[in-house]
Amino acid sequence: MAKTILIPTDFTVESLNLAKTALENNSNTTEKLRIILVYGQWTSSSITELLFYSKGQILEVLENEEFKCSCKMLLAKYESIIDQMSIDIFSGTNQNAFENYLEGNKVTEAYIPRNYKLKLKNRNSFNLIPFFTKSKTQLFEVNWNTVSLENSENQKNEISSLFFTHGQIAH
Amino acid sequence: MKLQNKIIYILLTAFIGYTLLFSGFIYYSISIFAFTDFYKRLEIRAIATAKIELEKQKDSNVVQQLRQDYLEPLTNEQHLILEDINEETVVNDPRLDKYNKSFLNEVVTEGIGTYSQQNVFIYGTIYTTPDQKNHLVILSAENYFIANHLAYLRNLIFTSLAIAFLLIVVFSIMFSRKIIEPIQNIIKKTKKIGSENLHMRLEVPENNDSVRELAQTFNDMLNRLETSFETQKNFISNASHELNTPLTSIIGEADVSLSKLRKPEDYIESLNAILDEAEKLQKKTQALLLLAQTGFDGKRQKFGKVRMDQLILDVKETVEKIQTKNKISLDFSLLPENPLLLKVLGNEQLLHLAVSNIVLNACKYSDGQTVNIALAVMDGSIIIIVKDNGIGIPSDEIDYIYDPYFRASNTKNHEGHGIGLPLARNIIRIHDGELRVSSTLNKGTTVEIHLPKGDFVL
Repeated sequence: MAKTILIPTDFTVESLNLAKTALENNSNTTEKLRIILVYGQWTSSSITELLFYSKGQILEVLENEEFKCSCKMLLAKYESIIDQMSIDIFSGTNQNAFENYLEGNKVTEAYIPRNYKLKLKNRNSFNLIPFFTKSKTQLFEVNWNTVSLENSENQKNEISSLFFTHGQIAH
Repeated sequence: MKLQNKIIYILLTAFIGYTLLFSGFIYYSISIFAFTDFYKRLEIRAIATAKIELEKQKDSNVVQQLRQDYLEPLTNEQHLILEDINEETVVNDPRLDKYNKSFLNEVVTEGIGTYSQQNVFIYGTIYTTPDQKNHLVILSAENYFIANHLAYLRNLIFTSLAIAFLLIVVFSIMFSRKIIEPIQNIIKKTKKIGSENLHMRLEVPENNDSVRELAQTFNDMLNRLETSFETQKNFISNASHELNTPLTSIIGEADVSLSKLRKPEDYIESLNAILDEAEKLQKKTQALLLLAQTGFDGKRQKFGKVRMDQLILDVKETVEKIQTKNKISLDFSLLPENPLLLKVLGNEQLLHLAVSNIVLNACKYSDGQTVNIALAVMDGSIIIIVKDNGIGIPSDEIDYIYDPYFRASNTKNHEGHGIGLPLARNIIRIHDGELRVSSTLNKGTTVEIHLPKGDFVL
């Protein structure tokens, strides 16, 4: 049976360090891994917008070139253990919805950052970390220190921010 | 023939041929229709007249009334009725002298006959009254429609043909100009570009058509020309820059060994070091010679399989010998499981030269801080990332970093010639790769080398 890992993302390359650490942590398993990168964004309450709601389009706006490149790099590296890697939007409003989401996707593990704050891309977005911390699933906190001493805003999105970070699970 | 004239002639022939065919067809079918229609009208009149004149019945008044009320009078309408005729002799009747003989024969044998003389149309028929007597009825009238309307139609068609011709000429001239114009522009601009201003490029039009492709192809060609010109121009400086490093270590090694008397083992060691450096020197000379001789014709260089991880380890070793104070850290954490993905079709010496140039630059401008090198693969291309925390490049100067001899304003304290990076870029370009540099002043520079993966199979 495949193991499903849930990872919050903010569509920056740096946040993919979570996925990288998660994959490293599981690199010796015989099970195939399903990785879900999740982002919190409420759906609109307007009926017309809901009528033409397309997750693909929303993700298309949120993703950027570097993020996609980095995802491909991760896939190339761990192609033998990754069964599927997908990006999803969670739009629930309370803890129960989140628990349902975990159950529905059969999530077995989740990884959250300890010293990195996920950024919100727009007004409808919300922080998913509180849901993660309150949930009953097995949770790993990941700590990584970037090599560059000061992180300026634009550097977060360079492909290089996936490297030289030495992510480790904090205990 | 000029292309423009050719287009005009082709358009003219096509359009005028079409208009002529079209108007000819209309004129022909209208006149055919006018003829048959007029004979039909004559027939109705002939029968009506015969009914009135021959059948003196009580309802003949009604027919006469109808004829007067509803049948439009024709110009010069005349009728002739020969009552109770003998079909064999009637043709020679003196009253019929003014009519055509073959027409009369046709009327007698077929029962109906028509013919026309100039504008006068004549219709003849044999009318049989209820008392089984045959009568010859001949009706003639002028066809006003053919005489006037058809002539008007003819004039109309000729005038419109003339107008259409003018319009088509104007249209085709404008059309051919519109088609030719972008090509003329490209020709004009290309003429301006010579060996002294090779940096100029053609404007690539917005819309996506062949002209855009042409302009892009020209620009690509200019790119190749420019790089090849540059390398030819800077070959000597490139060479001396590249050859200087090994020479310095040879001289240094020899100097140190000669400074005092040493044990034989020391001499062997230093001679080995000198030999190593000399071999490196030879390799570089060969690579540079190759670069200069072949210009940028990618096909003539010896390309083979190059494993990028091996190359980076080699580069690390080389750089550590030259720049001793820097620490180089490698990040191979995202190396793919499949080693085939790491192979590039390329020339190992040239790639080594390019990567070591970039790493050396990173070391040189970061004053002893750690330089990071990472290697990763994403579908179809191999990415080498070299990141330092050095002095960076001022943002307004980043456009000029590939110009030979250009040195950024903040590099005064560092020795250099401004040749390493252009050389590296040229080499990456030969391998169809791409060099991306991003930098923040005083924080560091990140160089990404993108190389296409070679299509090797096990």
